Amino acid sequence: MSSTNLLSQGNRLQRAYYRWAQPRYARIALKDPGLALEMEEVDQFLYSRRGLLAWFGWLLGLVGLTVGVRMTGAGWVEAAQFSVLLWVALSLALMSSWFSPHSAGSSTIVKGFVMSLLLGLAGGAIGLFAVKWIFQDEVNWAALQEAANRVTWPILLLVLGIVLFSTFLSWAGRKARQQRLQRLQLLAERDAARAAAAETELRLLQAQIHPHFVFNTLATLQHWVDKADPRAGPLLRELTGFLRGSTEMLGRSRVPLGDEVRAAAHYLAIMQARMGERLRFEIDVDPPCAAQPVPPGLLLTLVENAIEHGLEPKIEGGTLRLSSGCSDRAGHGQGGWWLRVEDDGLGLSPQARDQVGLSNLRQRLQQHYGSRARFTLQALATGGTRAELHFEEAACPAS
Amino acid sequence: MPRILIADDEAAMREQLADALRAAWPEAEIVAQAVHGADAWDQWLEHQPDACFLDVRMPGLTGLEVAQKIQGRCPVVFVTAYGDHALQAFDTGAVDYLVKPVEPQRLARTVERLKQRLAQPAPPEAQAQALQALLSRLVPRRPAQTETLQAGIGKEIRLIRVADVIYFESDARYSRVVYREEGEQREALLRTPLKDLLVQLDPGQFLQVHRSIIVASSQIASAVRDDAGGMILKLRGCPDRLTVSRPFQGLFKGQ
Repeated sequence: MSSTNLLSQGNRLQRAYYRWAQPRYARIALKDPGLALEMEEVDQFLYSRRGLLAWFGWLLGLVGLTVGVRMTGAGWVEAAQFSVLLWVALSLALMSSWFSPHSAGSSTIVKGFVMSLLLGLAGGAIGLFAVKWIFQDEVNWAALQEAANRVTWPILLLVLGIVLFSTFLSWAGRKARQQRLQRLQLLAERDAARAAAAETELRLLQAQIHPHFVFNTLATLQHWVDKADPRAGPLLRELTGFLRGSTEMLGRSRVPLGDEVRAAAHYLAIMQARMGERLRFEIDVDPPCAAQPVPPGLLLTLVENAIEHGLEPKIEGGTLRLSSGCSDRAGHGQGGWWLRVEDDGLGLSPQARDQVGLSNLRQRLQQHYGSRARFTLQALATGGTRAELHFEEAACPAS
Repeated sequence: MPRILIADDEAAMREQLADALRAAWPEAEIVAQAVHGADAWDQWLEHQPDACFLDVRMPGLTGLEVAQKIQGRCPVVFVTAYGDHALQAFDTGAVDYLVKPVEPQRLARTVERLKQRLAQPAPPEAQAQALQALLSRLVPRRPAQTETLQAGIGKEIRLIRVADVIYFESDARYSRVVYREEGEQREALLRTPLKDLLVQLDPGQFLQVHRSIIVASSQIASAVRDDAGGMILKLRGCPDRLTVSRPFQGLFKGQ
């Protein structure tokens, strides 16, 4: 759409025209970008080789009209005069109706009609005087009267037709531009959505493989390897499991909750190896829930938040409980299932309340489930935080 | 013999750093191994070491917050595993930083710098001030975390408003709180050690004046120097006298 105007690189005449027209495009673009684009396109057509045929057709129309008027009995000069006037006026009227920016209300049409009538009369008068002056001819008022009588009705009908037609044209022109603008907007929206999706993906990648987490774990691992500590082997195994699980999840749009739970368990085991007694955790997931598909990284984000903002910064540490079950059995209403991550850590600090991870999570829930999933984050009276997800989709066999 | 404090919340990392330090600086003595930031500050007050190695991310107080409290009174080396880009600001200046796991060659360079620093009579005041300014930029203001404290008295759990507190005093593993309620002075025992309590209080409202005393700044009436170089705090409407230990006497300079 933003391709350069051909006229700006054409011959001298075209360039001159472009220099003259360009500020006008810009002015129009301020009010109606679609209109400006279209005008540029029309100009590029008319004032280049491609437009020659159109000009030729226009001339042919003029000649045809002149011949037609001559047939009604007028003289050649009068016929040509009349035809040029009418044809030019008609062309201009149609062009401006198509392009009429926003305003083709009935009042403008009436005004236009009166204006063109006056202009036509003035033009006719000037034409008559010109004829008289050029041909040094006495104006034959009687013949003129007769000609006028003959053409009054056809002209009135013609003018009415033109008014109707131009109204239609201006409506059609507006419609076409609106559609075009909508198409452009749609394209822009789609591009924006794509960019947002790519960004989400990237954030997900970062959220799942915190470099801080990985390097701290590697540092511990290095020390245990150096000291031939028997804890090195199991820790390396957990790290491998975590990295494999979380990277394999990335490419998929949904993963079974069970896979997420496994990745979270690796993560927790690693954190426990590092934090020692300060971290305890419990995992309790109902088998039917483990099969439920969820957006990848969903659970991991909650677990990482609980550790990073709740338990790791708490001097005494604490316990993380991860659980999932069916709503009907746990008394959460009919159908559906829930997923909960609870800790007895520092609790919700104002800064922790809406980090990147959580707003990202809310977005993805909205994308995947719309209103069929609910996310709540609450501070517990005993200190600590509970993050809870409710899904309306039935997960469990009726019991 | 230089005395060293190291602080890291992960046991493996403390061990690794201690091992590496013993190899790189055999004549130094590791006098304290703190397990979190509040512990690091407490141990600093107890031991007044010649140099500190502080993990950046620690519960209680972060390494940066501990350094802020130390106020340049001893050289500090920050230790981090990854990505604390802000630390690069320290690379050239008064303070050093290391990446975990600590590599012997890099540590040797740090030890070399520390030896030079310790050989100097005292660090220039300007340098300490620049460091303090940098730290206060890097350390986010910590919001007060508690408004009420729970104290067990027999079977009763009493709730004490932080706003009523006059001062806290360390009492073995617990803290004694002296507060005013209905115009009367009372006291109770909290199950939280004083060093952990410190990080829960708003530094704008409470001042630590001794390793084992935190006082509400609004309750201080005056600070009195004695001939032996000590300092005593007098309180408003409370006969108790509190000792200000040497590291904290700078809080009361007079204008």
